[in-house]
Amino acid sequence: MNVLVVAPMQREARAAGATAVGAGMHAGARLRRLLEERPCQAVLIAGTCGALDPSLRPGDIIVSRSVVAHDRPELPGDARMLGAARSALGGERNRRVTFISSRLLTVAAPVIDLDARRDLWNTFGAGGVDMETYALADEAVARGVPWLAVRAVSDGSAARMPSPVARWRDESDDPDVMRAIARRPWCWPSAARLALGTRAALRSLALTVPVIAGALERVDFRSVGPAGVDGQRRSPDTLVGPAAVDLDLRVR
Amino acid sequence: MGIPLRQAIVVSAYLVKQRLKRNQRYPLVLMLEPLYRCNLACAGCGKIQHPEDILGRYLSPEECWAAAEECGAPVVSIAGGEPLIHPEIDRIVDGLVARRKFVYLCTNALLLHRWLPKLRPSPYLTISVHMDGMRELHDAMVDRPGVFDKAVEGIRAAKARGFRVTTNTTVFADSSPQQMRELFNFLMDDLHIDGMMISPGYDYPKAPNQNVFLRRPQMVETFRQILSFPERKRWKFSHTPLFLDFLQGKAAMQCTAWGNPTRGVLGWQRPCYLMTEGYVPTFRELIEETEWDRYGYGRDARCTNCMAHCGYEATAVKATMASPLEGIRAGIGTMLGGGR
Repeated sequence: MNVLVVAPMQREARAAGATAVGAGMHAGARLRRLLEERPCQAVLIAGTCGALDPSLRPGDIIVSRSVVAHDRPELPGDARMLGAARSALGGERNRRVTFISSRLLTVAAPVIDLDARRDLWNTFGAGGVDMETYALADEAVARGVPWLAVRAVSDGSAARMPSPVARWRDESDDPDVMRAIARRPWCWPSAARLALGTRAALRSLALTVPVIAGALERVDFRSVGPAGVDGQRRSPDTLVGPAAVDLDLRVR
Repeated sequence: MGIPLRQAIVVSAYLVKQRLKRNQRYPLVLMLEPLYRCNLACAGCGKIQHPEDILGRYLSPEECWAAAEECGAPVVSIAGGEPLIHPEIDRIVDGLVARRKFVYLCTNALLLHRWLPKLRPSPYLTISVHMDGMRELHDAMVDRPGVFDKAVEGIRAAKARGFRVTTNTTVFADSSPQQMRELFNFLMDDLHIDGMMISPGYDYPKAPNQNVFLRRPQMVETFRQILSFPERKRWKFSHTPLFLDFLQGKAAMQCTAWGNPTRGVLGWQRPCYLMTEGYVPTFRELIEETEWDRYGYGRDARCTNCMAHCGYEATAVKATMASPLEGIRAGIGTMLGGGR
């Protein structure tokens, strides 16, 4: 098999037909071990995310152009993989799910404050925010393996989140967070909305990841081609600074 | 009022109709460019760099009316180039007004004195004069002395003839908040204009001077300062409050590139008013065959520093319609002067 499909959480892995590598920034270490055990030609990262792009709704898909994190250089995705994924998901008229190609932002903890989400959007211009893509992509880049991330939106940029979610770091926190929500009836509507959004996101992952993975299996990764959109790492500052204009993120 | 009540009602009804019809993508403002030729060469303009044979082409009045009907947007902004160079601009305007389109005739006002006798005041017609600053700044931005005075003269003459007159101000790196304050006070207090539009300049790669453009964080800071002056309460902006929030970084928005489709002498411009990736012959092709998800902040590097009203005001209008609170806020703003 050429393409290793990984997902942070068990539920995401089940939906996407992927190997679970754990949530949070430690996911990278697990991927490192996987890559040592099962060499592959490309890594496809699947999972859910929160939307920063206000036009996105739960269930919408973000195919990564690049990933950024606070104070870390931007990691561009693989242009061949992005092109193949876009083709596989179909043109404007025949799409089964809505998708965009955008930047992803990785943070250390869930962002539940709406003003913080707005500021992250205005600063980074990332379509979605998650807790693992950067660590996983960094491992792939370190080993010279092309990567692409496919994230399904579980909560819109303006959706209020139940406050106990702020303490979530990985799946082992699920029971504690659920108990905290149960004790706070005022959090129930937002928790129900998040559950519905997560369901829509997992459904979208189930629809899209096998299609993209299938398309990536047909990509010839041995051919000489651009390893990244421009083959270079960039500072997050360049995303909003003058150099951003020179960064051609488009794939035609 | 920043936006006439009649226009606010018609546009609101149009939006409700589109929502009821479950139309995903529909135009709000047709950007009509009947010619690209201009009598100025402004530092931040990316519209006039076409070859001579294209600069010599004009859309006929019939083509302009057909574009308005084909597109269906309730508002038509006639831009360019300089529309008043077009030999039949009065016929174009008359035909659009007859079709009950709210027409914004955008001009630098250099030729306004010639056309005012031939244009008829109407609740559907607004003359929108380009004003980037007070005398020194404006004349520097348009690279010709005396243009500010001609524009002021034109505004006074148009107001005297009963026209509704607004201004369109592009904020560049050289525009300090204090200069904008002086301009807006002058426009409101001395010229008694009916509304003002403001927008950060778009960093056209073809613009003659690439140093005039602001980057997004600078834009946000500049607009925060401009909109925090105490006189702001009496400045009448022809914008939704949400768009002004966006300019100050207080609201998150994605561009609605299809909200302001552009019809020029080469066809329907893809994908938006500011970027050019070719032209298609029909509006339907533009809407249905453009891969809209490719464009916007975070999706295309060329959109990184764009906060222009032609992309984001449509987003703000849609969000305003979708939120009762924002709707009330915009309604109060419209009644009291817009943009509160």
